[in-house]
Amino acid sequence: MEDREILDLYFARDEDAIRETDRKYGHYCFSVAWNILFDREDSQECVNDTWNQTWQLIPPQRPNRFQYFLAKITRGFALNCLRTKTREKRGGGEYDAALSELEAVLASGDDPAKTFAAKELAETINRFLKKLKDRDRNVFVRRYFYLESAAKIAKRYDLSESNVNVILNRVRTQLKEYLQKEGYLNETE
Amino acid sequence: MKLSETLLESLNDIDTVYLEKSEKEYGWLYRYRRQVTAVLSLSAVLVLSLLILPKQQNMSGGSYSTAPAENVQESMKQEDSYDVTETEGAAGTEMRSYMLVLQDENGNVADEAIRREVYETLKAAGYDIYYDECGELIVRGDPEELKTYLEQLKYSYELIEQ
Repeated sequence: MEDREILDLYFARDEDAIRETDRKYGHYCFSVAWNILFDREDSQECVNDTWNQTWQLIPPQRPNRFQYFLAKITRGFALNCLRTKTREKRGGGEYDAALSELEAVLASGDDPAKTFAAKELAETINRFLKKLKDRDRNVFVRRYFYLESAAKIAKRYDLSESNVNVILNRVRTQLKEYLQKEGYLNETE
Repeated sequence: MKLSETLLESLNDIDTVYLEKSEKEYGWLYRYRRQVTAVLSLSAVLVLSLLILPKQQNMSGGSYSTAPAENVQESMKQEDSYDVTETEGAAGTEMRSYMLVLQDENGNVADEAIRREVYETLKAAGYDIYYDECGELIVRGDPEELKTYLEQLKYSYELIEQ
């Protein structure tokens, strides 16, 4: 079923909307949650939460890109779920690995006196992403939005795993420089 | 919350266009794009070289004989108003008209392709050369300079004074 038709079901308050959404995007949303949580039960719970949230948001919203609208909701629930878990219980997920990679270059921004609004930072990141070459941006998005492993990204883009790591390393360095320029990081670091 | 955590969280608000683009899977063409581009560029350079370089070499006929090249502009201007009775060039050299008879590598009378090639070469080098009404190649110039220049071409020739 086309996204447009599914959205029409939401607007008609027809509960088939959720069934059709699950049929079309259930696996996709599950993989988004799974990459963060590495837990089948928690991931499925996030997907269910996503359907409920979507039911609340549509209408009045009518997303242009339904798939990514769902991905963002699922990702938000998965990150929340992760935060409620203890750090010991996380283990193995790509979230921690991705976090460590970013911490390595963004450590100077961890000033307790500073707080950063995620929304404001998102705008900065959007501007940064716009500057990147397509391939580099795609690799970055797969790694830090979808939290996919380098191996999976390499397979998707037909690159070697080491090539993906080199790209990520280069983009992180560019990100660091960009955030320094934007005042998020100390220039001396 | 650490900046890295905030950053990971903030990615939830990135433009969905970037998410959509990242879904695309690239095949071998993308992987070998640089190589394909390099091959195509090289091919283009080779084709251009084949088309342009021979002409440029001909245009730089001064390497064979500088005097005619210096008179290219002059000769081109004179081409239409050529006077066969004129026997002295602008530089004071003796200018005469000759029928140019060419032979191929086997000693046979050259075919039209060879005749045309030599015509273009001499023309580019600044010589007054044309096909007469009988289709013979007529070239005008100082005989010694002409011979010196023609010796460097790969074809045997004979100059018959007109």
